[in-house]
Amino acid sequence: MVQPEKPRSALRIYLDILETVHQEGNTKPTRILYRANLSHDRLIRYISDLVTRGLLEEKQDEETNRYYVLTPAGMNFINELRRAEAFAAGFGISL
Amino acid sequence: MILGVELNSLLNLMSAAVALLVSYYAYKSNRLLGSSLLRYISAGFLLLGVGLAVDGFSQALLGLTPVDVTRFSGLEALVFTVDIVLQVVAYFVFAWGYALGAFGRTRQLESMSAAAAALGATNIRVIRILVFSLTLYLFAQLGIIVLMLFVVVQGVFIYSKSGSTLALTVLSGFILILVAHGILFLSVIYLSADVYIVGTLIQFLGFLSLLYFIYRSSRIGAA
Repeated sequence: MVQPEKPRSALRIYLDILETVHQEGNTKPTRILYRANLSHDRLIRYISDLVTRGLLEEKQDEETNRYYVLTPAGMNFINELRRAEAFAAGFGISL
Repeated sequence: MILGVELNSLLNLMSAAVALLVSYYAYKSNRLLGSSLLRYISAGFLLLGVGLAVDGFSQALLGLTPVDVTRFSGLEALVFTVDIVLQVVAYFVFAWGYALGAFGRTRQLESMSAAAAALGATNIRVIRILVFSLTLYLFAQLGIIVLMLFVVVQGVFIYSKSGSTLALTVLSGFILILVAHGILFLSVIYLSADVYIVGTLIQFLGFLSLLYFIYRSSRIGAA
């Protein structure tokens, strides 16, 4: 029997968003929406949380299009979370 | 013999350092991930590290290991009791954490009489200390072996499910520690210092495997 996939935890979603921005550089919300596989409402909620915590920075280009960049704190958070994820995997714990 | 005690002491102190390091990493990871199993892992390795450090320092200062039980006085018996109780509680904490994770989601008598014969059976207090220390040690080791068996079985399930090499490294560490406790148990039954050193050495190899696991997992984060 095929086991249903476990829903992603909030931490996993944060990590997916941050990694998308890290890999793509200046990233538009639609790109994050597509890569992190989120609904628009949830994306706005998670992104505003990451901006409030200083892990992402919101910017605008000349055509007033919003885009996001990773802050040094965001990069540090990705590394810490990857380390914690690898450590936890040794004991059978997944994000 | 003194060299043997010094080697045991050194191996136990190095194992204690690794156990405390694992405890710190588990604590740090738990602050991010908030997993109850990591909390138990952190607490278990902290207790184990303290227990092994007490073991290492007491062996260095007193010059005795559990196989020298026939030479124990009140102080040695007390230090030895603290050490073994800490270890049993530590392994119980591991097993409890894994249990929550999994379900929430005749020779002995011979050696005792041999030891009593070695003493000349003259001093009742010394014999009481000997019998108490031996009984405590053997029952504690048996308890640790049962608890570690449970932890290893959980580790096998985790590895077979995830196939992760990190899980395999942790499993190897726990298997080596389990084998080490089996050997330490036998060393006291036979009152053999050589067998005891083999046990501490294998236990140290188990902790080395955990140290390698910490190195590997921290390298992933440093990408």
